[in-house]
Amino acid sequence: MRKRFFSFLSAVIILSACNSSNTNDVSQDLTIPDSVKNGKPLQISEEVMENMIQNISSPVEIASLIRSTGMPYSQKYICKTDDIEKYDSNFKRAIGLGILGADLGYLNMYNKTGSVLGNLSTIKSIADELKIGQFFDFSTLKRLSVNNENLDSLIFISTQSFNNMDSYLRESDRTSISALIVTGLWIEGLYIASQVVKENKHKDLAERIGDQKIIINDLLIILRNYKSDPNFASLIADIEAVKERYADIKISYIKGEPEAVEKDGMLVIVQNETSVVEMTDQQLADIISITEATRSKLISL
Amino acid sequence: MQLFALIVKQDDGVEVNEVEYVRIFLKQQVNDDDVAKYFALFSEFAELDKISEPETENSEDEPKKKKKLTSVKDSVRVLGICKKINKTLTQKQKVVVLVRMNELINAGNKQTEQRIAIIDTASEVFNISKDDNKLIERFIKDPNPETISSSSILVINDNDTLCDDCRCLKTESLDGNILILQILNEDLYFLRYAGKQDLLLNGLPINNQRIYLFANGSTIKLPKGKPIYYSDVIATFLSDKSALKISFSVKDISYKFKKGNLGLRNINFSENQGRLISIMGASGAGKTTLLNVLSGIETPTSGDVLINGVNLHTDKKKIEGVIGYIPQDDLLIEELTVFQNLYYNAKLCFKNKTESELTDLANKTLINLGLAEISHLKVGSPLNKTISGGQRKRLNIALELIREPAILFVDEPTSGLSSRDSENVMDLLRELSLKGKLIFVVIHQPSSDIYKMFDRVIILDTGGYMIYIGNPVEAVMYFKRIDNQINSEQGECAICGNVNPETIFNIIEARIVDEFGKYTINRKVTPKRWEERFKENIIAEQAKIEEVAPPASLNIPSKIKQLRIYTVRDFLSKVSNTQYVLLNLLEAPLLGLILSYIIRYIADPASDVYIFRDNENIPPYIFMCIIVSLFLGLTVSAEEIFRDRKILKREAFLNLSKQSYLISKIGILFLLSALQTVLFVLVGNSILGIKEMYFDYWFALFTVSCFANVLGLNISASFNSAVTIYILIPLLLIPQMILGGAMFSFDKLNRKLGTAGTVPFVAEFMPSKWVYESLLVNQFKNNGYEKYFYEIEKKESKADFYQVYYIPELKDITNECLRDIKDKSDSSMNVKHQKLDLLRNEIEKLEADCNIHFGMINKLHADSFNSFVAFIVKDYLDNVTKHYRDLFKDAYNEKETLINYWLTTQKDLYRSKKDAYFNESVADIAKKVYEKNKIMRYNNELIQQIDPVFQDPIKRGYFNFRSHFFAPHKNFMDKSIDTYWFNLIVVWSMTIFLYIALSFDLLKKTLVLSERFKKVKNNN
Repeated sequence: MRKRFFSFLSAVIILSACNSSNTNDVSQDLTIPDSVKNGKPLQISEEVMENMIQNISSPVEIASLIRSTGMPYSQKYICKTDDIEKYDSNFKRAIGLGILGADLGYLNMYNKTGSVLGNLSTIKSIADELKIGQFFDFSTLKRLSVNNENLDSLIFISTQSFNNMDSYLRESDRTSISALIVTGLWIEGLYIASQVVKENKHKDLAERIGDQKIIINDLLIILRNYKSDPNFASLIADIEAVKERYADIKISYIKGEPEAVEKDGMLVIVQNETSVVEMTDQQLADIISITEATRSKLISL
Repeated sequence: MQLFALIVKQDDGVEVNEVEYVRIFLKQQVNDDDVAKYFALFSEFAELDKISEPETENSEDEPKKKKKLTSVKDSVRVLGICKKINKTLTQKQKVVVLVRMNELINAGNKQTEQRIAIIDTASEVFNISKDDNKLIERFIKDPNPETISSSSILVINDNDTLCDDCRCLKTESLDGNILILQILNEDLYFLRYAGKQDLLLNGLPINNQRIYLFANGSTIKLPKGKPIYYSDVIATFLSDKSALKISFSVKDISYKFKKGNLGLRNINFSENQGRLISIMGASGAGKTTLLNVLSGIETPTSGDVLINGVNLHTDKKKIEGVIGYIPQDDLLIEELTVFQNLYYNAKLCFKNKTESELTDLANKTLINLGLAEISHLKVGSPLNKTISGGQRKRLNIALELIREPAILFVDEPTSGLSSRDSENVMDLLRELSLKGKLIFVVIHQPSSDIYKMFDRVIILDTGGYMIYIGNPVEAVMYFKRIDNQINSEQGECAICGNVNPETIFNIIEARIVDEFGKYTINRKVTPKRWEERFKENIIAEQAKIEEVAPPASLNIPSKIKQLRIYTVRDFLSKVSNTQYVLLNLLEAPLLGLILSYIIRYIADPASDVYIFRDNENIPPYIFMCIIVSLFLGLTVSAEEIFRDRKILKREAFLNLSKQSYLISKIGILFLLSALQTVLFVLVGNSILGIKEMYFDYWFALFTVSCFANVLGLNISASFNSAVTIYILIPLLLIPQMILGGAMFSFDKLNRKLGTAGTVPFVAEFMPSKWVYESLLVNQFKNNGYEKYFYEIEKKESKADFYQVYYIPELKDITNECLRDIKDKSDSSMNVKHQKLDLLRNEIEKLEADCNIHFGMINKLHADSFNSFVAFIVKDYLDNVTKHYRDLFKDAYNEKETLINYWLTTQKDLYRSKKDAYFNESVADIAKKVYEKNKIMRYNNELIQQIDPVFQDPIKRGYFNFRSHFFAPHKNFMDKSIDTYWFNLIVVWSMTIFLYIALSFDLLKKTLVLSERFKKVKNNN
């Protein structure tokens, strides 16, 4: 009995010894040179984002368009939340937040309440990490996730929330976060749309993808503000790569007759303008594949 | 027999009176049938019928004619027989034989050389000292024994002129002298009477030609005057030898039980040293109560017990070590051997003796008590016996015997023992009393032999009446007389010498018979009546009151030495129980293994790699560790003192240091707890991959385990059964779980308990809460990953909270105030006041924190507050927001820089470090991420509800250390102390408090008080 006890003891000791030997590399100290420690934070030349968010189509819009195509919901398009939760840097987290935002729109359109829950909790925890949790409090998130009947109001709420957050971030010199969230939103929206188009070549949707040529330029203007940051530099490079695929796509606008439309009980004159996108199948396929690649790079750890 | 014959046969054979002597002797010794047989045998040997034929195994009897030759041969045979006798008889019996031989020769008046030679030979072979032999010879032969002046001879007569240097005992109207010879070595007494009166020895007539063995408990009845008791004789012999002088007087003792009924009524008596006194009575008569009162365990309701003039109950200090007590139950340490039990006991009694002296003393005592062969055996429990009941009892007595207290109280030493063992035990006590000790024995149904050993008997009757005190044999006669029985003068059986003490109780408790001849429940004579008769008939003799200080037999070692002895003793007793040791040492690592193995959770379903960071079970693990430690600590200690209770009862008479005892207990328990927690943490933490924090975990768990140890000791010292103690354990542990802070959030408790901003008051008394907080905060704050970020994140968290929640809330309140100002109704005034108070209070705090001055603090009152002030406030708040925003930016950027640098330079190390050290669940709890209300208004304060681990506790007062849960540090006496250490110090202080409670028996006293209080209430 005693022998057994001692063997047990020694086993325990060996076990713990093994463990500690495995962790030798982990127990190493992280070092940081004083130059970095005391160095000034990256000075980012501030340039106002100027209603950028309005130009980028809201995730809700894309989602509603996708739904109108009659394509069924697919879980495949949604980004897995596990990895996003593990992001190390706020740079990644901000992109992740955008991606999740786009997913939330898609989920919302298809009434996938179960999946929404996981999505929301990840959004919440990432927003907390980014110290913008106050804009993602439960009541806001609830409004965002429940309100799928009234599209306009949903778009309004999400745009307003984003603008509030953006102005707050601007106040605390963190516009880069806004820019990254927008980038995330954009790439995920593009990704979902392109995935749907890949399966079912829906004309409207494909045109919408082609439309993004204009938006890429706007996006790059914003991102270039931060190009001194190496992370941003590599992001810009990725987006540039997407832009290249759009280079040969032509978009022409056709102005139509102005039209009076009743909106909220008022008569408003609307200038109807339609854009025509000239894009070959090959070009579309290229865009789809570069989108996939870029997106998977962005969501990787 | 054969010897007799041989002696007689010398020198011309047998004389008539010799033959007669032998015949009488035989008659006394054996029954009638055997007399004839033995006499025939004797005759053969003595060749009375002149037949020279050889007989039985003793073979060739020499012809009478060859006298000279035979004498030589005979002496050879004497030798042979003596040697044979040596093998069969005890030394005492041999002395008796020698005396008888002398007597025989004396009867014949033929003291020839040869006869004496034979006696000498015999005495030599018997190993009886020459002096004793001479003495016996003289005692028997001398016609005028009065002239023998020897300290070994006692003369009893009625004049006091006779003796100068010899001992004498005066008595009334005695013709001639009674001589008593003491054989010191063997503790034997012989009696010889030279006078003409008819004396009775134990109710049998004394022949003045004869020598009588004056046995234990014998009485000499004189025709007139008081009888002479054995004890009187012994006391006279011992009077100068023993330096002990004890007077023990009991004056009007009454004792009332807690319930109010009387246990003892007016007990009065006094005794001197050297007495063996029995206390008898029917069950429930109050024997043990009397013993307890006499020994000082219980204090009488009225009356005094004086030992040499010192009051036993009030002057306890003066008579330390005088009294010894042997309770009815065994007070042995079951796990130790017989020798160890005795040895450590002796060690505690004598400080001056060396190890070898103590060992010798213990061994000697064991030999004396016939326990030498079993000295290495473990005592064992009564259920798991290794030594017999008699041996246990003797060992029990040995424990007291070894220090030889002057006054000894023994409670039922013979209960459950065989008659042989009983007699051995009683012999021991008798011997002690002969050494001059005063011994009180409570006894039940003693056998005749035992009964006769007593010098005195105290008989109690139901209800605590003392109905007799005096000589035991007399007692029988007294009750017989009162009962008008025939032969009431005969105390003992004339033939067998037996005394039947049962007759006494038959008489006392005789019941009235009803008309159908059935016994009724009514007694013939009530206890009260017996007491009256006792007072009428018997005048108890008054003992001489001694004034000298009572002789203490103690020389107790210093407290530190006691501590060491206690510790070694306790340690040995624990180690000897392999089951106990193994179970205790295996329990902890086993629990650690079970717990940690079960909760070693891998979050990612696709992966087989365990990542500490993702294990959501770490906070519950921390809490379970604490509960396990509490449990282990309590279970090892809960029975400790309770188990020792009986031993402590006896050792109370040694006046040993309680502190030493407690500290030794605590020392051993702490050691055990330390070992247990080490094993637990080693196993649990390594399986769960909690790195580098072994010491932190161990020390915290050790702390809580020690607390539980001392708590357990407290309950084990205060409650009176093992069952209650174990019932109590959940009662003590479950509140610890509920209020530990892990299972139920402190924010969501009953409002009556909770106070916003601090831990609920009741929870402050839970060591589980303190240790949980300390471990969780420590795990979060000081792990190998967070340590790089904690300070930065703290700044970031604070600035973020201020700018995001706190200042906007203040703005809201300002707006509300502004709105309220227009409402002049009374009900809103209160609210307004409260809001403005809050605003003022918080702005003052803000000023102190950010060093931005707000000029209009005095305007924040209901009468002076207006929209202008509100504007100023908002303006001020905007300014402050900018301040905090800057602070936030700095911290945020600093952290970003660090992370980005590490991600670019040491990406793998950084990530594996975070996986290995940082735990998400711990962080969630420490940061309270799931809290819905980030900020709360409470009275005139705003209370931060998130990020408690980053929030500095509010200073509440110089000594007030209360804070919110999971505060990173605590404020105490203007110092900020790390939570880990501060909390553990708090638990240690609790432990010290419990120790003080333990050493003053506070819990027990409270229990007794509350019981009394209940009684008073019931009575009302």
